[in-house]
Amino acid sequence: MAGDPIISLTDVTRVYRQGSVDIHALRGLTLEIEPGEFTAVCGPSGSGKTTTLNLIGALDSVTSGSIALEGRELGNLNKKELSALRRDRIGFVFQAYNLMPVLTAYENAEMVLWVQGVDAATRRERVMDLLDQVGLKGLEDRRPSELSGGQQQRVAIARAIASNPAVVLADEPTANVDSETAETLLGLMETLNRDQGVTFLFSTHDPQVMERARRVVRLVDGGVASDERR
Amino acid sequence: MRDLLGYGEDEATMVAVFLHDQRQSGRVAGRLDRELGGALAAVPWNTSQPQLAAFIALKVGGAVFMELLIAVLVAAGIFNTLFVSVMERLREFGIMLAIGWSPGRLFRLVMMESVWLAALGLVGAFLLTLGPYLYLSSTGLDLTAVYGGTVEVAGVGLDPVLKIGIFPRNAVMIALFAVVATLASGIYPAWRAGRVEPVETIRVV
Repeated sequence: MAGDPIISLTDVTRVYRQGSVDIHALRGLTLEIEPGEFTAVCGPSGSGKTTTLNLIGALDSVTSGSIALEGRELGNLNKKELSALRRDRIGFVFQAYNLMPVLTAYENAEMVLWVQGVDAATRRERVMDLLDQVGLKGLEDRRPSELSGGQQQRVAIARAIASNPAVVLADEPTANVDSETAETLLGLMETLNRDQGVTFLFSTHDPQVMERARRVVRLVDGGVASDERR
Repeated sequence: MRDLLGYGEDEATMVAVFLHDQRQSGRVAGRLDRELGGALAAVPWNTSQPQLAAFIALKVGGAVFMELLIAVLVAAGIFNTLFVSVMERLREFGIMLAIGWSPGRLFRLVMMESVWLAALGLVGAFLLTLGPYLYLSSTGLDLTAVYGGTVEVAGVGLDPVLKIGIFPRNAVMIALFAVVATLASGIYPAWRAGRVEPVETIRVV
């Protein structure tokens, strides 16, 4: 099935009810992402960037329309199947890192593999390799509070790719780090994209990210305003 | 019976048989009664000492009420501990759900914490109470100064040194209650943990 999109959004709307007011976060969004793409979704606040990522990541559900990941309609999956999908096929990188504060860098990166039931020896080998790849060798035993923002985001990236996901969804991954660290993180994600074929989808305001992306989708008022491939 | 025990004609009208466990008095009295035939009557202590029995029944009733009250407070304390620990970690549970934990797995995780809490609580309580229990069951608490020498209830003299004892069955019941109360208290927090909406708790914007 080469050439099939890895992510497919068809006429997706998402309406939130706030008191007696309906907020239309997405209005008939249609978008396809090909395997191996390095795509940035940008747009002003309230344009629907985060909602789009949340919906693709099965953290939220559509009001109407449909989303498919690797050909599987998310709307047809139950909670357990969605959990398994997030565990096995999706990696998340959040703006606020969202690491477990009581766990070390190693344990944070290991967590998904542990949930997958991977044996201890394989986990250790994989996690040590990942931490090495993201430049955190020697910092395995540090807790998030003992790491800088950039280092925490590297742990989050290691966690996101630990399970060899089909796609990594990164919501404003460089928003909380300085430009030099952002450059390093982008380079790291580019390398993972190029060498391992991991599909990356970012939401961002950051011109640095938009510049490095090979495709930039601009959202305005919950719909695609432009879609530029480089 | 007087002959058997070496008493004279007017020396004894009642013979008390001491048992290790007063709860056996009814059964022992019944058996003695059958063995002795109709010449003598064997009665349990609470029949021969109705006032003392009433006094003890009153005390036991009060103690049961207090135990129930304490049990409710303990259960509420355990529930509060577990519930607060879950509510404080909603964000963490949101992250765990986002990266692929299932609600069922989170439920089991929090229930497992309840099991650990129950186990640690039992061990801690045992260690904490063992010393005082051994002291109070062997040396006891001398209340002579409080009662002024002798203690008498319904004409029966009581030892002013108060000693305690727990029947094994009661100890097991208390332990079982603690475990059941802890596990039951964990059900709602565990269910709540599995119901966390990742989008609302991790706030990715």
